Amino acid sequence: MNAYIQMFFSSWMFMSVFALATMGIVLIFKTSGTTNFAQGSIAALGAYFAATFVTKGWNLWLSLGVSVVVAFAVGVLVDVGLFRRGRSVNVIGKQIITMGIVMILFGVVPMAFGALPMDIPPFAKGNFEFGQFVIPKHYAICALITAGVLAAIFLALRFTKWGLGVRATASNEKVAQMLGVNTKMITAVSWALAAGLGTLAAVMYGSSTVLNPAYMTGVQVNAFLACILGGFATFYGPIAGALLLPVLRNYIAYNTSAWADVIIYTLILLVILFKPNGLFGKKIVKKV
Amino acid sequence: MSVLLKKFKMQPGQSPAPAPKKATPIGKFFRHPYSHFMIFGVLLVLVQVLAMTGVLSAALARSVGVSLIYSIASLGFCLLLGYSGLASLGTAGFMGLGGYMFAYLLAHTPLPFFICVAVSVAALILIGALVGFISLRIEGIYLAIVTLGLSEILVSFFKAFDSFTGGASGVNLKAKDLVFMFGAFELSREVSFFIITAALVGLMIVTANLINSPTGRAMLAMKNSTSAAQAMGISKVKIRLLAFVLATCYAGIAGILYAVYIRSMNPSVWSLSLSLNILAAIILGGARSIWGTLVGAFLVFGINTMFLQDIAFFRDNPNFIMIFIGILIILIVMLYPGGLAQLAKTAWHKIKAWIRKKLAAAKDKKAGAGEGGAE
Amino acid sequence: MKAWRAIEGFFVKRYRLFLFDLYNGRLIRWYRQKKNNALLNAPRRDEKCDAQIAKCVARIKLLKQKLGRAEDEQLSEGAVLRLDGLCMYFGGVKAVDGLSFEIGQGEIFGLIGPNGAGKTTVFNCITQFYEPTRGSILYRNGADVQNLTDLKVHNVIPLGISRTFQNVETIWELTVLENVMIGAHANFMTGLFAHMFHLPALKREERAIRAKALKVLEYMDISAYAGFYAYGLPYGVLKKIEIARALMCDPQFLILDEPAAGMNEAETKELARMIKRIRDDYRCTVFLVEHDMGLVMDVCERICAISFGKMLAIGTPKEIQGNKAVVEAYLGSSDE
Repeated sequence: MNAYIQMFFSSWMFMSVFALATMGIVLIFKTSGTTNFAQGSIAALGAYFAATFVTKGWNLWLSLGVSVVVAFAVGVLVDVGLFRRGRSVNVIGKQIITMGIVMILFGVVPMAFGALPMDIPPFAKGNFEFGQFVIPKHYAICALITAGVLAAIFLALRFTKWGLGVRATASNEKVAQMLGVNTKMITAVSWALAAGLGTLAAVMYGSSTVLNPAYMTGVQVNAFLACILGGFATFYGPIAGALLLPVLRNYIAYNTSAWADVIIYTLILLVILFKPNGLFGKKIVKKV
Repeated sequence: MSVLLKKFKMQPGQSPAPAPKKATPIGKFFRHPYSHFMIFGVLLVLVQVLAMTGVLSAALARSVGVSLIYSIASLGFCLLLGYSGLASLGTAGFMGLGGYMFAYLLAHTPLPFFICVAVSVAALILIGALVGFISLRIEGIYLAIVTLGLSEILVSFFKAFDSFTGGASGVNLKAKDLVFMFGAFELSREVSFFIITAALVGLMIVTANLINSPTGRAMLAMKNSTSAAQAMGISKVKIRLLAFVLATCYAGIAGILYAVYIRSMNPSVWSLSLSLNILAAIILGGARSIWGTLVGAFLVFGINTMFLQDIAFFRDNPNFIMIFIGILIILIVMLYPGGLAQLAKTAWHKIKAWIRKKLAAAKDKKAGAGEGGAE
Repeated sequence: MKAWRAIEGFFVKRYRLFLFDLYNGRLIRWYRQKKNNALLNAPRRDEKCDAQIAKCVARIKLLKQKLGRAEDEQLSEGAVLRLDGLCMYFGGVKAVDGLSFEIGQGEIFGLIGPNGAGKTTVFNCITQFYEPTRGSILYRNGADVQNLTDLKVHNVIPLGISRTFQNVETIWELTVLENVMIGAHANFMTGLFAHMFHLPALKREERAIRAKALKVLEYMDISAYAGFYAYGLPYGVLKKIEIARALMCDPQFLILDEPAAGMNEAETKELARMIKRIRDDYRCTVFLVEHDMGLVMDVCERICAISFGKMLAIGTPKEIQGNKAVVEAYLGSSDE
């Protein structure tokens, strides 16, 4: 039993990383109507910026802040430069545009930052220990930041004008536009936020791996699976999925080491089979 | 049949083409729908023969061969994306799975070449059908997500299971296993090239047939208007699943041919970049055209190894080509969804119209001159 | 013992439902085969089809009795379609609420109502685009009476029910001729293998379908457009393409969703003539939704008026015109 509790604590970092990445994907899905395959590579770009600042001797927190701001800019650039012009493109076309962004970033990142591997230090070294349980300080800080950021976003969605705009755009963009919602602004802010959240996740994850342009692909896949698990219909569903996945994975990996990924994937397929709209989803009836 | 088809396919605002002239045997051959593919196959065989005699370099033939392999995977993807309007990111994973399965069967079982191919393809069809059935029950956009997940898991699976895939260092096929027709031929690089050519031409013909059949029309109908297609008795899951399984099947065949031709595979080959490159090949060439797909595959996979390696800038920045392709596919999706095939078609129509205008003008002049002379 | 009975009953019911679906599927297959025979002009093969269809119908009847579903007998003589307490709720919105009426064989039947009355929803329920919340939709096909709610959306057309759409749903990337050929998709019996290798069986079918499509285009007076891509054609032509596509499968029951939308007066007059001509030539029942009262009063033999999913009145055009409830629904109550 203790082992399971310990495993729950050890999942904190991945829970944070997945939750942040998932939030970005859901925001873009709601406002731009596409699944953003470039979420991972934009996040990796942000993490590269952070790593560069850190190697220059900057403070980690400062470099994190600056790289998040850079990511905001990249997000806005992608939205204004591509998605605002590509409104008439169909859903699959939009998906392909995001895949094109992935290709560009896969090429740009090694050219801009060099092919040498880079790394990012953790927020804090050492562990908190209480009783038999050990929580690395980095994990605890990650969880704290994530909880704060997600709470802020959920509150903003609920109570601010921007949040109302996002929900209106999600339910029907054209009608929202006619009612005076500045959908362009809403979408741009969502892209910026998504890129920023991704960068935050990438920096958190960066301390336990070596940076390369594709290192966030795994996180992105998991974030997508979390979205499917929770259903794209709500904001909280995917986040719940993202918090559930790492814990589940650790528990399965504890019992069957090599097959954990395959089992998780099969579980997700079963969820799609029996609850096509996700665990928290609603049925959508298409109008003919 | 194809003549009829051609007769009825016109751009709006264009006058019907003049009735076809009396067919000579040669003209008849050229008008046959398969003739273009046959000629293409003969040209490819010629490339290899010239390489064997030393006129062309062996490296060139090799890059052509590799491009052809990727063309096969792209051809399947063309059915999926161009005709069914679905995107998948699992192409590389399925290619890898096909290749590894085939290599394992060939090396560890006494089964002959063709049985190994058949078994691997059958297994792939099964897996593709399972994944496709589940993800296509909902919405088209789920397919890309689910296949992306599958492909990531396959890569980690390839890395983890050394007994099957040789782990991270990969698997190498030995020459003694690569025999064909019960040991009558050794599958040297040259023989493999001919097999690839045969497979490609065969699959091109099958694809062309499918496109011009009720199945192809049904796929397009489902892509354009789901409700109309369903009301006309086309099953949504069935037709989409068919396209996905066909794409999987083509990818598997491409993977097997890769194993035969390159003879060594490691998991890093089957990464997300490969799937994206195949996608790019289709978008570039035009998702609804067989020839466009081939041209796209050559541009994405062939150009780099054939020509750009000789230019210092590209040798130093191997990723530059990826940026370029990425920008290109975004531009094409946003501004020119037909790709190069559409471009070529429009250009051809313009040239034809220009020639017709010139001819008409010349005729008028002549007629005018004739009248003037009569007065 | 009681629990055992319950478990047994559960499995028996499941088994019977499974058999029911199985025989329904086979029935559809034989209907398709029969259409294919008609297409290829091979009436000789019909005997086997008829025998198989009769067998399937008998089995389905038996299963229905065992499952305790005797709704089939409710369809009165001479009627082709019956809605029975049809309800369709979207969350809390009651788009259709307990609608019941019958449509007679060979009638031109109109469904009218103010905007948002649930007219198109009725169509979508009949063609199974929506799964009705409650109620049954009975349809007579020869000796066989089907409850359409048992079917999947793509299995409706082999029974001879074909429809057009409110917003034209033509396939832009196909030519007009190919668009119309799509309508005969339910007639094809050749499989994937034949399509891959263009076997003679496919060529035979394609030839027959192409000839038929050209004939239908001529019938609809749009054969001049056969070779053009559907993209960019005038709206009136697109509407006609839709009707031509629906006619490809020799419908017994034709559903037209606002056929006159976006047409001028002359075109509407022509359309009215065309609808009557189609009914006479194809010997089918026509069921249409239309906003243009002139057209409805002109062509329809009987009309049903609905408002907010509930029926207001049913009767001949004269009766409807004189009905107070209908006038109120359209113009608002005079007391206000």
